[in-house]
Amino acid sequence: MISQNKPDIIDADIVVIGGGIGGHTFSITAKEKNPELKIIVVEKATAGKTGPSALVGGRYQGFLIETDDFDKSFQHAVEEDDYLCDQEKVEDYLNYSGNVFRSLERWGVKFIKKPDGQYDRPLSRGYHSGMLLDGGGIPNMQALNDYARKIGVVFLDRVMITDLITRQNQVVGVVGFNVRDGQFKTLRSRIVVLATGMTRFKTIQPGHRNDTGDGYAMAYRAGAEMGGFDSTHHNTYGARWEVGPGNNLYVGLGGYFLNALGERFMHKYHPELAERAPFVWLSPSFCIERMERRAPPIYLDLRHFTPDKIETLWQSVPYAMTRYERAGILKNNKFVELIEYTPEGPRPMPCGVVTGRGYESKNISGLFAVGDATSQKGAGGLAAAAVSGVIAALSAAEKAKVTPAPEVDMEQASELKKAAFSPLERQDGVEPSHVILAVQEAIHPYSVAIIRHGRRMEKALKEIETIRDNLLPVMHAYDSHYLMLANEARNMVICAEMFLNSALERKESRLGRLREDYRDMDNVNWLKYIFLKNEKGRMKTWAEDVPIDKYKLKPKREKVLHPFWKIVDGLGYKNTVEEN
Amino acid sequence: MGIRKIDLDRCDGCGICIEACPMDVLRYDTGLRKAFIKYLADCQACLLCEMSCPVNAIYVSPDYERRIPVPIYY
Repeated sequence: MISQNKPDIIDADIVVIGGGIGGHTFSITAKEKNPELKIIVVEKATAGKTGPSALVGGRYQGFLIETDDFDKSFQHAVEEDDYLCDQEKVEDYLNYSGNVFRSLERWGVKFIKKPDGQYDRPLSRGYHSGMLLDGGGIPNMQALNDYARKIGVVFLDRVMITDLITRQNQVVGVVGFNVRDGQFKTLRSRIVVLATGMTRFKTIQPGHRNDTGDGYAMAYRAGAEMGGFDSTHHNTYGARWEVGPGNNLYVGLGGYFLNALGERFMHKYHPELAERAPFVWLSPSFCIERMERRAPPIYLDLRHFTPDKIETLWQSVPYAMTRYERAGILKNNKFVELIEYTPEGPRPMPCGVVTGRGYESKNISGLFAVGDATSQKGAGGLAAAAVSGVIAALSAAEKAKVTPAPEVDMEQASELKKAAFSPLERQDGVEPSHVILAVQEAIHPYSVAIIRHGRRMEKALKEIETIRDNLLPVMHAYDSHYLMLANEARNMVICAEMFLNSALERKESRLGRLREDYRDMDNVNWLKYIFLKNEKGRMKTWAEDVPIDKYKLKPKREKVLHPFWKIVDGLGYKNTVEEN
Repeated sequence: MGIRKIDLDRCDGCGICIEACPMDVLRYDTGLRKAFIKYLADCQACLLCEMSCPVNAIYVSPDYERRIPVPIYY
């Protein structure tokens, strides 16, 4: 039964949207700092059992200040984003990382240790090594969730938040609905925290299909300044089976990629790291193999893994290993089949709400964004989400004490409800799953987001605008579950627009942003962030200089062929993507 | 194919799988007093339901349940 009429208002000091690792480290830290605060974590699934935090590849890419090289780690983080990150945030991340790691252990998270008592830290993608979650994400997120509940954090599961309520550039609450019974909810709150992850457009990979950019879209609709959507990262996953996660771990332990001819190829594209190249380098390499007609398929080969490596995988990614067994890829504890692999669809990152060092929005007071919901962070993944959650909580807990009780305009809440519930009001129309597939078909081809060209991105943008103007207005939800899918589809359309408009704005090549029509990395004219904002219903994008003068590391101010294109040219490949 | 089966002889209706599912695939039948598969197309084969079931009533297959465009196959 869908009941939509009775207003259901809940009061809180802090509302956290999203029950992944960032939402948990934020709420635990804020509650421990100020136990008087009423903190509610709202999650559209079940907190601690959703998204990449629970279904991760077992890797926590943490930095330990007492043993690790600060300067090298700093340099790698900055270079991996081709100098477009906020270097102050990278510094904060490295400085806080050790303490947050110890806090996670205190809160019940367990990491694998070697017999000598040291953390097991095998190599991973890029220049990093990482700790391994003992038992994977599920038991460790459960431990965090148990701890948070024990100290008084309140959880509201199966409630999808659709919009922020603002008053004079101050966030005062949120609205949403229960996905089981359709009950509309209004939450009044002094502080709202987006811990909503990113958008992966419901791509391949268990755990990634909750990530539908809900936080990005609600912040955009509320007028928050957003940034970084020009960059897309594409991880690599099984193309035929729901296998994975754990790619970082597989390449770290020595997994190979083979092309359709059975040849290893990554050493040609990244001679130093080969298969362990960062995925902003890995996925375009797959695409060049495709353009040269040596893919698909591309395979992940783990057949040479020895029993000790298999044991590590069982300990760190047990669910993935079960899937390999079910698919017949793993037999008698040995990988016996090649695994067909592909880059996933685009996931804009590092992007989100533009925030300062305390992770508060630049232009909406009281709105915080952590983990993948915030832009320019310079570090991604579980560790960055956990650390940013802690840093944000330290300032948000203080701010909550001095922020007056919020006043919510019920008329505004009612208007937001009307927009979110409209698919349920229609008697007939387009299924949300059709809209989602149409979005995927517009932006998933490798020639749109990974190997880019202005004309192809303009064509994709037109397709997205057609979906926005023709399909969204007639989307129909049979019930409250479909209403969740309909709102996810609405959010994904906005995210696709943010990605394409931002990517078109940047007229150069950079990691995560490789263009065939602008092949130079231009540190003379394009050492800039791409920002965007909702201005009276129109998406306005603009470029703003990276404040490089105040940062520690500075690139040469020159315009040169991007290193990836330089390598591809050196290989003498001739084929290009057909332009259309 | 995602979640393939809830063995109704084994299912005791505890509802743990329903709360574990991140995609809201499962619901509770008040008449049968058991879990049932309501939104199969949204299953992502994450295995959370199967692994959390205390009576081993659920089986999940790793085949894809829905068509997802694969970037390098275009």
